[in-house]
Amino acid sequence: MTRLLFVLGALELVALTSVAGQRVRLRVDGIALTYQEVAGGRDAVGAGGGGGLEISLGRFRLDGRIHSARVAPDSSHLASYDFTQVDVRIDYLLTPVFALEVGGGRRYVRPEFSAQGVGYTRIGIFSENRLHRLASVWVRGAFLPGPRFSGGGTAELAFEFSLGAGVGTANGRFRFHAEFEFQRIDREAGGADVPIQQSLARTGIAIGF
Amino acid sequence: MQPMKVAFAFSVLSVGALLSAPLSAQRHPDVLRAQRAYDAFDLRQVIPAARSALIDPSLTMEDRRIALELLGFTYGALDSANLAQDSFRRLLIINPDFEPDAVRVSPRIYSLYSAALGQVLVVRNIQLDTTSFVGGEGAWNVGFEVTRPARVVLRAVGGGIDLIVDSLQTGTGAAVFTWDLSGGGDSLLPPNRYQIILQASEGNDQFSVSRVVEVSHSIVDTLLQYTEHPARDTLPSTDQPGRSWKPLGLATLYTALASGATLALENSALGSPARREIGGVALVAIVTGFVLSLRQPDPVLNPGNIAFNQMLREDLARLNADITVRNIQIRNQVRVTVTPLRPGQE
Repeated sequence: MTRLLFVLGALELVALTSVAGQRVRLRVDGIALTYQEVAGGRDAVGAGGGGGLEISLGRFRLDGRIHSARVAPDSSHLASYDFTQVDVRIDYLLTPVFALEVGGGRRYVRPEFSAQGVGYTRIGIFSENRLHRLASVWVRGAFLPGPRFSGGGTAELAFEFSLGAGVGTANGRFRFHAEFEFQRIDREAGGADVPIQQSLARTGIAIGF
Repeated sequence: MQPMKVAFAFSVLSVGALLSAPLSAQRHPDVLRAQRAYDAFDLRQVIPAARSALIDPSLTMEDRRIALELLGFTYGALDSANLAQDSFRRLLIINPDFEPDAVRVSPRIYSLYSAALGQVLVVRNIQLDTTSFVGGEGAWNVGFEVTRPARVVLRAVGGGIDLIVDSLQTGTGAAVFTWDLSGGGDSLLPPNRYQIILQASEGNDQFSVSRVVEVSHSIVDTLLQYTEHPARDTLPSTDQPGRSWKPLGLATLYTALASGATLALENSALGSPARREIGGVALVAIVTGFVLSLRQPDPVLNPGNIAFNQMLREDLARLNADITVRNIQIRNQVRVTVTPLRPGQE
């Protein structure tokens, strides 16, 4: 079944690359993150890897990413745990440098309840500006309405920002990138504030088709 | 008598020069005798010898021409105007293109020749040029002179065709027929050898002269398509701007936006935030902007030049479309060539 899905995925990729005016980009990332939860002094840092697929078609762009990291809390009496985060974004270009963005994501934690698993949707903006035919910089900001938590609770305020820079070949075949993502979720559970905050740095290479 | 001798001396020199070539050929004995007498200034012997030759029915046309020429010049030198004119008239009938050298021949003899020329009806000095043109798009000129006002008819005979091409009423002097070489109707004259006949008539006087021409057909070369506009060059579609700090400015702006928002909106309840991630990426963004500011910027599209080049491409396509249509027409056309043949080639 897995092989069948892989073959179908590859065929879909080839089909997409044959459509005029579109571009497909596969990316491989290494990540480093700092995760903060509940209160000061409960930081956790970690590193891992991930990848993604980006498809541009006319004014639309689909950006899907997944990464996984092993996170170690500062506190020596807490055990390390694993993060796996999936993000999907759909952009619609209003101008050549400015786009509306919607999407969603989910963060899984293993072992369960080592930290909060979170699911969220996002509505935001994205702006990418070419510095040169070889490079561009981009920022994005999004509001995350009504996130859901594995441990229950609600969040009235949740948002994210990111900053990125990419340098590559003029034909877009290869691009090295570095990206920072910041996410803040003001979670409340049982009448208490249990906020979540994550800073993530991602760097890697993308191959365009 | 002195002027008469001078005139005669001139005439002898002139006729001697004119007749020197024919003397080397096989000549009629009487013509040879007349020529030698003329060369020896023995004019009284020239006349009987030449007249004797002219009554011989076996006399060749060339010998007849020489005999009449000798008679004309001799009678002229002896002041026999009527006889001189009669000789020149007869000479012009068989050799319409005859014309003594006005510089070397005495004026009196030349005036006798001119008077004779006005008394006969001949077509002379025919001008036939080698011509080549696409059928239906050109014409062939037949130039000639007539010595008296007359109606002249142009005919073409050959290859089973006897075609009256044109006719005109002309005065004394030069005239020209212009013929598109149509062989009747819309068709071109088929490839062949043709006798081109000019017939002049005025009252009871008639004269005709003919030349032989060869008419051939060939294909017409098609036109080459243009690969670039024949009149204008394309303009560069981009301009190269000068170096600027815009990349660094943009990178700094984006970095400041994201970093400022992050730092301002961090949750202070979570203690001192870790900033190694934002610091690293911000550094990468600004260094990228700085390095690219030192490089030559991207060429900038020039909309005016692009529109101009597009107009040139459309014009080029239009020109080539016209050439394609023209080539279709050309493939149905024929190039016709007319070559006059010299007497030996006929």
